[in-house]
Amino acid sequence: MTTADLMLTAILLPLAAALLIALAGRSPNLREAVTLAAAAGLAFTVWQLIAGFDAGTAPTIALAQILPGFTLMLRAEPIGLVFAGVAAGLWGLNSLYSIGYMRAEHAPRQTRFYACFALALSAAMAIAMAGNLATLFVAYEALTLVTYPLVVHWQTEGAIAGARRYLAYLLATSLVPFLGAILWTWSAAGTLDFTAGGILDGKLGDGALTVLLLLFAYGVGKAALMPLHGWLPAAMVAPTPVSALLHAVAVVKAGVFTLLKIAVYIFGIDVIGRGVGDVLIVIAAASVIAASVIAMTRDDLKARLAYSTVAQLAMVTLAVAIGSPLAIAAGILQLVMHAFGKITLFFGAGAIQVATHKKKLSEIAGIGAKLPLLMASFLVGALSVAGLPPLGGMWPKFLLLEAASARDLYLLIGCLGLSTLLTLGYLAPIFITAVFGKPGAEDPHALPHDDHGHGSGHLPLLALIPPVVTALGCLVLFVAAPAILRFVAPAIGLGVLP
Amino acid sequence: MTEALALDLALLPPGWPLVLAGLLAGLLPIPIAARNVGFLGLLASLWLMFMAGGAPVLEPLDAALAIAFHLVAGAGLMFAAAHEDRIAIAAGLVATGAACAALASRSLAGLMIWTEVIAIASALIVMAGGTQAAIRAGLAYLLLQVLAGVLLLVGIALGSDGTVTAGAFVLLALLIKAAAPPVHGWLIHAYAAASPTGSIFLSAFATKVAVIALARLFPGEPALIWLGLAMAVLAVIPTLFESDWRRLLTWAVVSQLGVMIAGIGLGTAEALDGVRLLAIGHVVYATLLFVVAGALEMRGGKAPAGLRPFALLAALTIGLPGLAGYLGKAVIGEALIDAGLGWADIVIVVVGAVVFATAGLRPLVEKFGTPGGERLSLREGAAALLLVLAGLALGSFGGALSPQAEAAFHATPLIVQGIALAAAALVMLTPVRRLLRQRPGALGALAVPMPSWVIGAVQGFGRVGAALDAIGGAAAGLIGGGGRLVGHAAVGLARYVSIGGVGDGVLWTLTVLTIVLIVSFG
Repeated sequence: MTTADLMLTAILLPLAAALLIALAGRSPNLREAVTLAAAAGLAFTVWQLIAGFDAGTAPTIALAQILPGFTLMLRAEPIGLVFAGVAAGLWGLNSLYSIGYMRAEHAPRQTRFYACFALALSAAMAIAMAGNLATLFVAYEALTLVTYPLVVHWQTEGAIAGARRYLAYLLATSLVPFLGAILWTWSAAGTLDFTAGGILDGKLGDGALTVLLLLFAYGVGKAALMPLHGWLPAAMVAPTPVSALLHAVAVVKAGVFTLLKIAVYIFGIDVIGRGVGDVLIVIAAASVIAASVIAMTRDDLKARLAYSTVAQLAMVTLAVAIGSPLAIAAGILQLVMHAFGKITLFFGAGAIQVATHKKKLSEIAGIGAKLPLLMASFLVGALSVAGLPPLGGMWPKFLLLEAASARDLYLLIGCLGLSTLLTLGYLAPIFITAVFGKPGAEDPHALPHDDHGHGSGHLPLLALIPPVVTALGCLVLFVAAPAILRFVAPAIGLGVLP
Repeated sequence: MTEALALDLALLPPGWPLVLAGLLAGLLPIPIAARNVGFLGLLASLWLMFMAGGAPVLEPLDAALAIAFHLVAGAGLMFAAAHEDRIAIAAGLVATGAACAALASRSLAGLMIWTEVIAIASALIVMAGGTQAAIRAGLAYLLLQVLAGVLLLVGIALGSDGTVTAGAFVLLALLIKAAAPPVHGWLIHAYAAASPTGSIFLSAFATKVAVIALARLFPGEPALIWLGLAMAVLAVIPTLFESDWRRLLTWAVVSQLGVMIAGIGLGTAEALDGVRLLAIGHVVYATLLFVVAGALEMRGGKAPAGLRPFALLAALTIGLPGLAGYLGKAVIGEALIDAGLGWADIVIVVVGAVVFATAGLRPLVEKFGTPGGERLSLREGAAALLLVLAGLALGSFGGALSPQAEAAFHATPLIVQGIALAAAALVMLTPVRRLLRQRPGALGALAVPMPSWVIGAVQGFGRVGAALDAIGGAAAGLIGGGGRLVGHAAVGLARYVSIGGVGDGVLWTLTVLTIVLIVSFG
């Protein structure tokens, strides 16, 4: 297949899978087989795209012209392919986990669940391969809409309230600041095409660019920059595999990916680096620290992880704001590494819930003894998110440190160091309590030999294997990071590898 | 960093079988004795490192340290076997492997990775102690080590433009990891809070790797002489007062780390080899001390038959010429004299003698008062014996590891050390100690309100007396009934050697001792 065919396949395959899943709703096994086959197919397709990528011959596909100047078009480029690779690669694992989780929880409406999941992947692929800002915007909105049924899945009162908040934040931010910023960009530059070196240099003054960058940073609500982060903890009402989708596979990642793309192809890295991003540096760094501190105060495991995501992805925004090839490289790696680390953590939190029906830090003392592999995976994920070697998460932190020191931002270096400690401060207690904590006597569920099905410590294999695989992924990524850097280096003008 | 790492990771680092064994021991979902997996890993690792015919990755002194790490892990496994403690064993194996890998790594990046692995594994070992205090100490340990790791990372990141600041960050990170004051409290709390098995694994790796890294990166940094000597002196004072045996031992560890750091600060070839020799010796005798303390603690403080000889041997291993601890200290001391710092040599000799008295002899006097503990198990005895023999071997053949070691066998250091140890033993083991003892309770009778620090200070002096007092009873064994003690030790050893009955064991042990003495002094 040609590159153009592969790109279309990547978007249409999950779309077709969604249709088949809806049709196969009566037979759960067939339905899940469709999901898994589509996930494998998509992973293979994206891999073909990555392996065969050649900047010289990468084609542009024009799909349709909505308005004069507003053309829907697709174009493959390295940053997008990295995002597509992460999303496609994790979809299969997340699906395996979903099967284990949803069946163990006897969840209703599973057909809708798997179908919307496939639709979300289709939208994510379209975001990854969007050739201009207009296409990206359309796909971005589509992703918001198709994930709404997933967030509201349980349809309890709380779920409906949380999902409404999710929708309200994301639609409001994209309709006001995001669309406004896009229109401003269009009127200033006369085009919305993603172009190497950016399209805005010389078209607007630095003051206006600073404002425009802030509009984008807050307009892309999916990036969850504080103080517009509230939707992310609210979306915790969703089933855990959906949380994993939001945090690791597609949604938040789509947000920061959009920012990276805007930085590289709309503004131009150098333009931001000459001072346009300075205000955003302060906001993002404050977001990193503040969200980490809030995370420490949360008792609910998933809420803790949600604030952790706010903090960790503010680092991508930070990378965008620093505006140097090194920083952008850090942002891209953070996108990948955080995906693997955080999905491991969510798999872990969900598996704890499946096995013991406990959701809070204060309840999980001592449960780790029955789940050694799971807790070891959780530890690996936590250490990777914190940025310790020999795990993938170290690379983005290291590159950010280098980027900060190249611009003499010493305060920022301190912030980054502090953030690693804070990250451990809110993630390590989960592991420590689960493994070394002594179950309290007043908690009847903590008694051993409680084998009434619920809380028996039984974990379906399908809920255990995915976190183990993603934890190993964190380890492999530590070694593989230079390869990713080499892949994106030409696109972001990174000369020598650090 | 990508390049440095590519070089460092191109080959599997030595010690990887241990990391693998640790992971298997901790995570295999089938019931299996973690220690057996560990023993296999140790054998595989040694085989790959020294016998499989690959290119030697380690210099002789580093290789000896790696072997010492393996021996410590082996002793830890044997000891743990009696009191199975899966997480501590698994994490201990990972730490051992990572420590070996750290010795072999040639880049700062590689060093950072492996020290970080050691830190995480060690924090797990501490937390496996299971008590609230252990968990808190473990978390503090983890956060502090990660802080050091972040400083290292910042140092590497800044290092691309080769500034002095970068070096300062790295130095600071390594000093934290080597427990240099004022950042040493984490070590004390951690060692004391871990399980007895855990403390055996803990005492060997993290700090020694930091010391070796300092020796490689910052030799001859004059400030380190002062820092090291201050550390040696300040840390040895609490050993006089501390009543918790493991905390006492940990203070002694910090004090000896100070001696090593002083040697690094001097930075001559002689001093650096001395530091490496002391690191090896210290790994052996510190672990031996923790094994003895652990065995007693496991019995609720009741002394088991057969432990006392090992306690004495452990004490002797600290500083007796011909045993593990002497060599390094003597070489560092000679190096100090050669550099015109004779007073510094006196400082470390005195510190060494006090450590011998407080960490070695004082528990012997104070902690063996309640007999009746459950008999020493074969495995515990084997663990202790393994380390005693390692100490013998190092004391006897350690001289071959470095041309500088010859300095240790000149008349001066031998005589000085002999006098110092004898003086320490005299104070510790004679009635001098009892004369100086003062009851801290007597202060309460004064009924005068006093600021707490005054009381503390007075009690402190009282305890100095008590400590000196403690220098007493054991030589009632050594001087009065020295022969009996030696005999006792030999019989104790023999029970675990058990080649053809007790009689042969005694003969065998005495033969080894004689050979060692001849080799050392001949």
